[in-house]
Amino acid sequence: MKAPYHHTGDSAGEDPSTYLERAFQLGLRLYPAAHRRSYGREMLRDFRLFARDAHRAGRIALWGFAAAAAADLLSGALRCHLRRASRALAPAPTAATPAPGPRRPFSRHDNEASTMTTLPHDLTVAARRLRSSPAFTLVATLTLALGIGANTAIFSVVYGVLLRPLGVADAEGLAQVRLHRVDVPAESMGLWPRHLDILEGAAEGRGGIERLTTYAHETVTLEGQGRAEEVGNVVMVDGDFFPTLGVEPILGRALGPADIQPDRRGDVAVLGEAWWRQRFGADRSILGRTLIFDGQPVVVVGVMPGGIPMPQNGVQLWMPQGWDPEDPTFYGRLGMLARLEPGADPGLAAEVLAGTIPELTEVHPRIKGYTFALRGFRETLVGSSRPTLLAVAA
Amino acid sequence: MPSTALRPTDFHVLLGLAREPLHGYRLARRIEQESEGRVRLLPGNLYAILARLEEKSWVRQTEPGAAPEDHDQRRRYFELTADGRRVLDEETRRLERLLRSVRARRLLDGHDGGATP
Repeated sequence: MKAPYHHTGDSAGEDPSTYLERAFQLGLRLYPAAHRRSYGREMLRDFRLFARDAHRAGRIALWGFAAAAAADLLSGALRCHLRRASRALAPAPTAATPAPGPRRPFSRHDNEASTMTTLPHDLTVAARRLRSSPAFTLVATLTLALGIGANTAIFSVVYGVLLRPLGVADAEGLAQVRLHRVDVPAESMGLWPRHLDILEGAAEGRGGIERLTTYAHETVTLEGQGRAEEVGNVVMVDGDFFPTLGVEPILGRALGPADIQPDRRGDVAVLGEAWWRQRFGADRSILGRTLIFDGQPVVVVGVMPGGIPMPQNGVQLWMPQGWDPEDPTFYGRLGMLARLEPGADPGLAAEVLAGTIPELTEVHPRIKGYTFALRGFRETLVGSSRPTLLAVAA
Repeated sequence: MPSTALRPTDFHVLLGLAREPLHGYRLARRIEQESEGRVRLLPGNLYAILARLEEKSWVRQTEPGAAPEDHDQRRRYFELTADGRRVLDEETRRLERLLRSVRARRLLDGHDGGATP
């Protein structure tokens, strides 16, 4: 949802990111007291409005905003201190500068404009104090070093798992459609080819579901290249799979609706990047070459980038498949992904799909007692470790 | 008065306030729109700049602007001073002259003024 720029109220009651606000308030302490007094309240109000906008744009946007706001707070504070320092170092045109006198302890009532609070002076005093207590300095330095090191390490993990771009377009709008037992949610099952028309009919224009796409894991045998070789990580996909993920090939083209042959495997394929590099030496002339899989000639039309984590990492080969309702090969084995409209509620989409359960049960009685859930793309990858990771990162 | 070119962010802040007094968030959004998303100021730097411009007496705090739906009495609004407006005008003219010179000398491919209606 686009943020309403014209809104000027500073209430952010719906914003659950109060911890971000607390962090911002802490960060405000980096600023000179005079600046805080003049602008602190306004800065906080603006921060709430920006955070509200980012929150509405999604979780990833909120994290991106948090990082940008942290950098902004630091650089803004530095800007203010440098300005004050340069002002203090400039020749004083008036008699406002206090006369030199006996040093007195720091006081919060010290004149803000005096050189006592300027950055260079603060640094000198800090350096003197640190030099006079080497043990404290050592402990403080080690603490900082460990703290920074640990933070960097933790952030690297959190970034890698939670924040890193996922190699697909608009990952936030992608969800895994799971058919699971109502009483044992951990127990899930695949779909039948005959379920697809029912689900697609139900989803059409409802529940914020933009598009559904179906896939199945498979194993094939590569022949005619010397010894027959089993290729274990193969994914058969329908024509909407790559358009739904929004992934571009690194070589050639992706698979699309035109590659689907009714009720059978198509006669083209795209390779996964890792397998292309390892098995074919990253040979670019692989495009247009015919390979024999399970006795069927198949033309290689593209290479997809590594790092597509859906439906799993390290896929060696992608092949187009027309699902045959009468062929038991894929009974109960189909996986499904959904592309949701921006801002759509996955719970609502799941409800729409769950409304088809009676009809799906007629196709196959095993579906009885099962229902649908939609799991966000990132959630599927991170699973239950997400709250822990976020807590560690906070 | 500036003796040299204005900093780009200062220019954007002055330009953002040219039409009406605004509070910080609306000013930042106005700048973002006017710069087509290229300049995005968050509170830390926005208020550091505003403080500096206030010190130079180019900007001052004021009452809310003319549009009643924009009013939020709890917020501080900023407006251009006469000096600030003069600085903005001068900088705009300086940029115009510079652009005319670049176009006249055809220094940039495709930016020789031919595309300007």
